[in-house]
Amino acid sequence: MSKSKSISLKDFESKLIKDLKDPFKQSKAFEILLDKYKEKVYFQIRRIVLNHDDTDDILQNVFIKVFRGIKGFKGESKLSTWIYRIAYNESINFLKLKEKKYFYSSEIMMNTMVNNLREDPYFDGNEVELKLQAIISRLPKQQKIVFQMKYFQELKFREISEILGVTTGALKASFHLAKQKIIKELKSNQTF
Amino acid sequence: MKKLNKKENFRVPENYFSDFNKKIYLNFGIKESFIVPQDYFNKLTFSKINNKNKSVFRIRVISTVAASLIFLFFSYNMFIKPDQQDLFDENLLIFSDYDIYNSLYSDDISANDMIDNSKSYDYLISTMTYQDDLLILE
Repeated sequence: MSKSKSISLKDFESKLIKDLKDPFKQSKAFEILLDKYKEKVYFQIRRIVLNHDDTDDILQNVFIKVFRGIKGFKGESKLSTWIYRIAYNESINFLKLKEKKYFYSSEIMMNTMVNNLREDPYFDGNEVELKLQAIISRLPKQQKIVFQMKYFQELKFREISEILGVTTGALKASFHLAKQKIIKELKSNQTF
Repeated sequence: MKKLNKKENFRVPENYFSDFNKKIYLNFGIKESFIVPQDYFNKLTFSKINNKNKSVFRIRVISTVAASLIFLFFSYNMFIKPDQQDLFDENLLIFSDYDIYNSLYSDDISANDMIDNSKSYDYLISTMTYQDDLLILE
């Protein structure tokens, strides 16, 4: 059952890629692609940049890049992995540009972004959730990304490995460390 | 003792293991706390992305053309210097008698390279003064 499901998913993806490369079917195929991935990619970006407006901007840029780059997509990885990789790179580049623009260190910028969540009308978190975001923001870059992709997006280590270009062994170690730090800090009464 | 049944009789709820890590955090009361504006995903359509794609392309073309024009403007001003064109007055290119004379009898400038010798010789003969005669005789 699961084998036939995975085969049909593979066939669906191959057909979608083929249609995306066909100028006559491209528009329709892109709508299907957008419907399938927009929410997942949105939340992947949102967990990195935290703010809705920035996420909206990056999300549109991601799909523009997908639209322009689909002809060069060789199918060496899953379509979703390729899209997540573009989204990850766009989000990281956005943060780097923001750091340069405001002359912030990455640490100060992450603190500012987390503090801004308190006033964000599109953040519905209580103190514990704010605390979790603050803890995640203080994690080293790789631990933070691995934790977000594994815990929130529920991606497999193999997929994360393809997105980040890091071995699964290193990712597992990073995830384990991140998890330990988060549990330890959540259990403590430390405020941020 | 012989095992009666190797089959695992205990069952777990669907997705139990995949959600196991999440449950640890849920014990702290954590849920998805990022929300999006109403109908945001419905409004995010292909036409919206395509319009942005076109406007991004348009902005890039305009920026490239503007940058090229600015480059050409500065290049023109730096290398051609139109304000110095006045110096190339036609009258200044005409040799005066003194210039021709000075050129012919000066070692600094090779006047032969610049003028038609036969014509200048005729010119000198026709305009020769007494002092010129003395110079030639020397």
